[in-house]
Amino acid sequence: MCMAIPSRILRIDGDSATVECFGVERVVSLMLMPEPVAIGDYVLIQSGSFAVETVESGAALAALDYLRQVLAEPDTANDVA
Amino acid sequence: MSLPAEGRLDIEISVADGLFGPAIIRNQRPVGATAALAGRSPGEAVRLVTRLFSVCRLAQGVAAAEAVEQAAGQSAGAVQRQARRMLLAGEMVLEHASRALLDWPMLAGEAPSLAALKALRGALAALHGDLYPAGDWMCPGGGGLAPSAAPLSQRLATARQVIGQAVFGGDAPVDPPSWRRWLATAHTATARLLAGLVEQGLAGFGASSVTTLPALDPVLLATRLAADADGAFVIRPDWQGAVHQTGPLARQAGQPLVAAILAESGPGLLALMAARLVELASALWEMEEIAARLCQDDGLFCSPAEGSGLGVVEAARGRLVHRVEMREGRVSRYQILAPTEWNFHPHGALVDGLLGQPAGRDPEGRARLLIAALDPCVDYRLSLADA
Repeated sequence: MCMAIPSRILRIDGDSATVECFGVERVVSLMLMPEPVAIGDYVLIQSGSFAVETVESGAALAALDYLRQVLAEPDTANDVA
Repeated sequence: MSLPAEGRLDIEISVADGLFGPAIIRNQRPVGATAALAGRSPGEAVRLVTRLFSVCRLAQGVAAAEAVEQAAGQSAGAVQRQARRMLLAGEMVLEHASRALLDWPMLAGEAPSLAALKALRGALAALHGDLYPAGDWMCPGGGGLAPSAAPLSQRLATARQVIGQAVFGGDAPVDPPSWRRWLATAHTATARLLAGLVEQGLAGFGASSVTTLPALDPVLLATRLAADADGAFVIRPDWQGAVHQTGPLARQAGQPLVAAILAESGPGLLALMAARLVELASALWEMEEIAARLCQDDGLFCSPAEGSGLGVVEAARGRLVHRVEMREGRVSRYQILAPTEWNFHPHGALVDGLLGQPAGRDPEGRARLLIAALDPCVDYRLSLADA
């Protein structure tokens, strides 16, 4: 549903970075980022594997805290075939 | 790879005797993702919505603000509504251009135009800051609108230049003769992809009999959402028993070029993609038109105590609906009906469009093209089985 969850940068390797969110790590391209990023920054990922913007850490943590509440609810997941 | 909380579509397609069979779509969207908005102030809920549902953040924020305003029995003033039109058009330009410069070339085996897309994002991604310097663009009742004419004009000039060069290779084609010339002579990856579809006989591939989403009676829609206790409607919507499709083709079907393509090859890949390009060009023109007459406005105070409201906007991917219920000044219930749930419905445009179509030598590639043309707002996983 149009969600893009802030992911934290763990490692940077040239134009790509390893990011983590809820224990899931993925490698993303930094080539669409408008400014340099650093380890520990939060970024939004779009089109599967492109970081597109930095999220201020307070806003990122608020979003992640909200999602922790959502994921803790037993009927959150959905599977309609 | 998607994160569990972001949701995902699992799409299973089958091929028998060279034709696509029935496809199965499992929508793994977290249906309860808006439940934890309950108990928050309307302003806090709207801000959180724009942080969480950030793929089409501006459309989500405008829909949220309008839902809260309706719950208060208010609507934003005309100037604020114009500014919101500008934000929605800007997001539409950026989203459609992202498909043309990033997703479509990769499907066609070409390199994406990352430098062009980065320049376009630089011009448009922070557009709301030029209109609402305090960052309160999503504020119910309207934020502090103080448009900065010079930077805005520069952003639009950059957007026009990038799109002209990287997507269209010149002026956007707007009618059948200019479209044919563009396919024959333009040298952008977008033109090559679409010309290739025509050459391969895939212009009408994926044409679906699923009709476009009509205007929905707001009272009936609100009633339907209010009764949706288990989320079945927002995850698998229908309107009076029928499934519909929404998005650029539904909005642009009457535009002369799109109408001509529809008449020639039906609502398949070419019409879906051409409608997106036509809308990309028209959204940019709309932004330029609105920019010329935007002025300062302070908005209205809006903080409903009781009641419910609906916000309906046309986002890049199709119609987006938000509904809020308020009790004692706090959100008591929040619902979102997103366009992906229409287009990727188990009986929707993708499933209907694939059924019985020739699978060719690369069925997965063909299926991915149609998925991209319908443009889900979540990641998807595609699996292919021989029936």
